[in-house]
Amino acid sequence: MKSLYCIVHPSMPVGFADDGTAFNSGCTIFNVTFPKTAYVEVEEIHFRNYYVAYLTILARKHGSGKGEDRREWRPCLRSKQLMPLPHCEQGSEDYFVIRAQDCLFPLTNIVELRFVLRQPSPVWKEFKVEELQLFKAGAGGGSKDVTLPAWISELGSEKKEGDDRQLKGVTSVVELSKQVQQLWALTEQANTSQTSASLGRYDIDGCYDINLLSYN
Amino acid sequence: MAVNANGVVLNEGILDELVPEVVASIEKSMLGFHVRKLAEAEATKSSVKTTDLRIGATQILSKCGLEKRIQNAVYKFLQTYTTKPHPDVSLDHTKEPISYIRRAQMNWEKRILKSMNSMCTELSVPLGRKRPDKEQKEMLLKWTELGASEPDLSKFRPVYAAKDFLDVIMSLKNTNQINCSDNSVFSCYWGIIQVPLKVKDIWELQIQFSEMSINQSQTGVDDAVEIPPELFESERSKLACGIIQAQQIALAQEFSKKGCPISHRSAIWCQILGIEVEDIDILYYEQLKNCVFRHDLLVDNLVYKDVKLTTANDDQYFVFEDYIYQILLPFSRDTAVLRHFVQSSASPARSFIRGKFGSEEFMVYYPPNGIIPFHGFSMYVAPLCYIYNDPVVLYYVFREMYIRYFFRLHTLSSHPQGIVSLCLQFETLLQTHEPQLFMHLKAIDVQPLRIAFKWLIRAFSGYLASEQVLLLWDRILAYNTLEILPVLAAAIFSFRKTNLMQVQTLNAAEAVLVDLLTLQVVPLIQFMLFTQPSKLS
Repeated sequence: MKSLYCIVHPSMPVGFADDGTAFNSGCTIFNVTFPKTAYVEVEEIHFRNYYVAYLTILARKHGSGKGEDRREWRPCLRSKQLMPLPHCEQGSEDYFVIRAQDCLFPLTNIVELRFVLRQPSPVWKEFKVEELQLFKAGAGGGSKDVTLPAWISELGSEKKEGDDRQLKGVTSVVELSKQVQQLWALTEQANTSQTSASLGRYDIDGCYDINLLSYN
Repeated sequence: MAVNANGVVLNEGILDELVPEVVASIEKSMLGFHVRKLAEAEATKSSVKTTDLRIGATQILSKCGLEKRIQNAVYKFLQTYTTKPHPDVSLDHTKEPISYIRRAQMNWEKRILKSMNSMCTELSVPLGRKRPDKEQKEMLLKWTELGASEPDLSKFRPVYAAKDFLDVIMSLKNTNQINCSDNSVFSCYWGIIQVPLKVKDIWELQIQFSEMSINQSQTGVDDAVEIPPELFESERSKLACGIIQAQQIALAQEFSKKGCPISHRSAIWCQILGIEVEDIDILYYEQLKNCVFRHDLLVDNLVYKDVKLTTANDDQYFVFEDYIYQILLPFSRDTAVLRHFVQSSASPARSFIRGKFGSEEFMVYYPPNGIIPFHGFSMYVAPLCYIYNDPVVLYYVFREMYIRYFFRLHTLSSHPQGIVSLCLQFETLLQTHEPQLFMHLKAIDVQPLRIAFKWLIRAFSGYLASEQVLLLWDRILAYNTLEILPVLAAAIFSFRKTNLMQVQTLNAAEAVLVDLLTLQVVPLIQFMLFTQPSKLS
């Protein structure tokens, strides 16, 4: 998957329209725009939580049909619970992944995203979302160029016996390889059945002379 | 749908995905070796047709009892399984997701390292050195009587004790949390712990420990001497024999919820922990023993000091002093213990040999198992000496119990069974159900946790009678949780409430609670959990 370039705008707390009344509504909003492209398709959203209890994501799509209001915000993720108990620490600093299939509609032709963060508990001083990254679906698999090793193209082409001999008096490579095959099979088997269990050694070449512990 | 101890929901989808992992883990183990050997022997028989091979091999496995062992291996895997973290997540975050607790644990570890380093330089004793051959031979000769030797331990001091750790827990503070004195909406917790972790309330605990309710017979209550054995004890023993024969972890756990009869405890605990000592395990223990002879560690002196100060001084456990050395000294050299650090918020101390600080190829862990013992550490082993007389089996049982449960008692973590959560659970239970007692103690400047903390950090070992400790640890294994410890601690305070309400100083309060040897844990737990008024009334 490829990372999407986006700008995360600063978050704004939701409050009253007049500046006189200050109160902690427990709700902030920030937008995410995509300056480099007209619209994007979002496959996954990764972020780290910091004391957000519920997350709602709204999306604005690139208007296609007639009569569709281009400025309309549609909720694609409603009140996802990030912290099971808003007063308690559980889930407060966890990493989350929102996939396209978790959303109410496919996140195609997205122009802008709006994240609504809610934290109803008065216990916490601030709440936000960190390390936000958006990803789009990567290129389809199998598009890599696979070069075939040279020997495959040689299969089926019949070489004369004489061409094989590189050294006088030595049997041909083909004959040798037939005889050595068993040995090769044994070594392959030994390689694959190697145990990954550790030997339990804590010293290095028998030496465990230590004077100080490291602080790093 | 089952949920395992790590909170992973084991639905059909996850179980299907896990099949290759489970198979791989069994293949790598001794069990996999036995299965393969048996299947190969069956396959080479001339009477077996290739078309029937699969059925024939499966039949021979169940005939030899290996099918049960495979079932147990799968059960053990599923119980301890944790989902793989997302690639964005760092290892530090997996070990401990809450940042200020992670930082506090790191700072605490740094303090311990500083203390070790300063002890090292003051006493001019190396942290680790190779033992000369003569000394190795001497040690081999007196391996079974290490308690008889009296090395000069006066200069060594324990790295830390329970009190020091409690001070660190008290100082845990989330900077993102509103100061309770500033905010009239949110009031402080009454106790020492101000960390807002989720702990279970009494009704959730009632459901979790429902098999211990008063209307059900329990080992520890209904097998008392005064009660005729035909009412409960003899049936229970017969059932225990059947459970041991069945050799299924889940059955053994379910059985232990009501306690294990003394004579069958060793076999049932081995089943629950999945311990089967084979030749290779005996060989591994011998290898660890040789490591003890080969290298002398400073940590060994800490172990000696701890045993001399705690176990050797205890009326119930002093006879096992030699035994405990045979367990703890090899334990320090066991690198298999390092794998538990993935689940723990702690990290093993590191050092570099030959003074080559910084170069990874000379990096070693110190001690080899990564655990620096503190004052009272040997008490985790002591009660087990009553159950097992073979040091090899005892070693593996202790090791499994440590990497499953005990490590959580001395590391800072937000885990629901970590010591911080257990302390908070104790204080919350006491505050909710004995508010008068709590307020009285607070008024005379006695925080109940200051007295109860030492019980919790040692899982009550050394404070209760040994059989009572074992009955308590039966439940830890059966319910696969340490949450029974704060329940018992709150029950003890509640039980001695009358005396505690009359004290006026910390010393007097401690005097009321100093002697717990006569207490019986099961009735106390039942009293705490099942005599509270119902939520509906």
